[in-house]
Amino acid sequence: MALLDVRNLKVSFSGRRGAFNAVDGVSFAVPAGKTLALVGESGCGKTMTALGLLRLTPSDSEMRADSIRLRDQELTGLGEKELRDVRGCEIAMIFQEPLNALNPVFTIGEQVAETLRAHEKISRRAAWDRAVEQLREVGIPAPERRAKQHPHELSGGMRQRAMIAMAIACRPALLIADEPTTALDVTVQADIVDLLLQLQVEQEMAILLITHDLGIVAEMAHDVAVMYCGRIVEQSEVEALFAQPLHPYTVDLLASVPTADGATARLQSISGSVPDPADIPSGCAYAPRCEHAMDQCREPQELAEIATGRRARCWRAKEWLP
Amino acid sequence: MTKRLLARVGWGIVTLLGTSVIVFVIAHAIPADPAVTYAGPQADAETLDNIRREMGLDDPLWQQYLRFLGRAARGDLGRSYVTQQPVIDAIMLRFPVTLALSLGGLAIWLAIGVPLGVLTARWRDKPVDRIVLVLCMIGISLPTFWLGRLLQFQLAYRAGLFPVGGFASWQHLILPCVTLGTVGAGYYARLVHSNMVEVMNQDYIRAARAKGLSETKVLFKHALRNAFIPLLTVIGMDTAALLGGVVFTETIFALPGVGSLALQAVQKMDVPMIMGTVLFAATLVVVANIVVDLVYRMVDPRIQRQ
Repeated sequence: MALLDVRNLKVSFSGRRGAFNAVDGVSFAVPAGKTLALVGESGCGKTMTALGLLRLTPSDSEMRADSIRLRDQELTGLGEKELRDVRGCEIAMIFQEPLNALNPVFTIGEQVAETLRAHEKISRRAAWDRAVEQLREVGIPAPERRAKQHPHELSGGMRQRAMIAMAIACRPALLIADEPTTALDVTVQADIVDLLLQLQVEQEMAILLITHDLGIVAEMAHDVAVMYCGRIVEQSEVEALFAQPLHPYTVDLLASVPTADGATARLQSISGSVPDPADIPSGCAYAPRCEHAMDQCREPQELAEIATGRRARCWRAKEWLP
Repeated sequence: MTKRLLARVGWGIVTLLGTSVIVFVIAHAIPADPAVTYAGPQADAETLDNIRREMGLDDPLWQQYLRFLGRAARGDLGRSYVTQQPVIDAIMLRFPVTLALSLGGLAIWLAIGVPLGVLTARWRDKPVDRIVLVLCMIGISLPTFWLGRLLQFQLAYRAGLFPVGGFASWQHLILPCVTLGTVGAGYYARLVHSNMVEVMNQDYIRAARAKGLSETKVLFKHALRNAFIPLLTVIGMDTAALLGGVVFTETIFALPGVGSLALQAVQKMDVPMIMGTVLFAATLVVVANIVVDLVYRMVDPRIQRQ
């Protein structure tokens, strides 16, 4: 059974230009101890999906879901107070830019200890000691000294480690990692990926990885869900997806990754642009940019099972099967 | 750090010197004869001449200014032309009243302004926010002299709940503090509101919620602590302005404070007293600037390194 099972999650905004769904009926499952990557361009709804799980979407939005099950607990019906026990304890989250996600006026140690004190009845002193241990665990050297420092006194990589320490202090079953490496230097990115992988094994922690970086996906994910315009367009086990994508959008997304040997070739880009969220075409949202589009693509289609463990939202998906 | 502090003090002295020149020139540019103030309207020409000679009023203005400066450096701001009382003594005698009034007013500003600002930021654009906004605007728009007179007439004179004016006990400070507090509280509520709204959009607020903290902790610990930092400058400057004399409120309630002292000095063309009260207020502003600078360092860890 999956650790987290999400059915028909929607996040809608009612802006001045009319209402639109930033997340439009997303369903997925994350098995315990595994990593599911939500992949897509900026604005495709992947972050809103993650925030929706914790009911932390912006105040001018509305989140609905048929079901969000964590083990055997249904989260949709929970009150604010019960949900707080889930946040940071069962499901934790780390953010893209640790400098912004850490409070500038509190020390690193205080912020890690705060997570512990929010969920466990322990003394200030004990929480501090455990915070220091936690910082050591995520690979921060001299944690006793670092714990007393403020976020701006740490390097980008150290800050992201501190952020991770803060998130996993209560041993969550699921960690949502929202672009955990995007704001970091390339060398540091690899360290953070290694750290997350190591923690995942040690703590049997599931990870919901949100990224647009397919390299990170290849390194970390077991399963992938590709999102476009608030919907999942393809869902698959990671190797199969890289070997043979079944949705034209995934094909184009993979083709747009620059390769080291293609130094002389032009960068591949996807023609056209992402449609206005308030004006998404009926049927397949990718059809206007898709070179394989046909008349039928204007009709709505399901995320259908194309092969074992492989689902795609495309009328022609079967044609691309090997 | 010490070097920076010394530099700040140095600039503060330059500011005060500049202020003293300006006030000195203005006070002497007014077509009124200090000798007449000193001797009274009935004095004859000979008496006035004697007084002028004695006080050095015939000397060139720059000589008079240097003489003033020399004495001021030794802590002597001269004597009042009207009461003959040393200016410093007059100010110090009245300062406690102004201090009590100012702190009372400031306490009301913060006690009302901060919670209202936080709550309206939490329920932004909801009915509560709109209602409080209107109330704040009314509070900000009320003229002190009108509200003061109204409270004085209704609550003190007609209802007899408070003393009408003067200063003999702490009860005499209640209405003046309420008057002062009402006018500033709305302003502070709006300031806190806008700072909070900005802070609430920060990632660390979302991160604090994702940690499972209660909304109270998120608002009053994580958000307010950050929203309060820019407020410190305003509080520092306002405190300085208040301590320099709360002219309207003190005058309405006949409180013997620095503000009413300054007003009387202007009305009677009491030049040493004008110079004294203005320099006193200017000194407070300079000191407040330095204090705010120091407090910033304590509250905002990001500044310390620079």
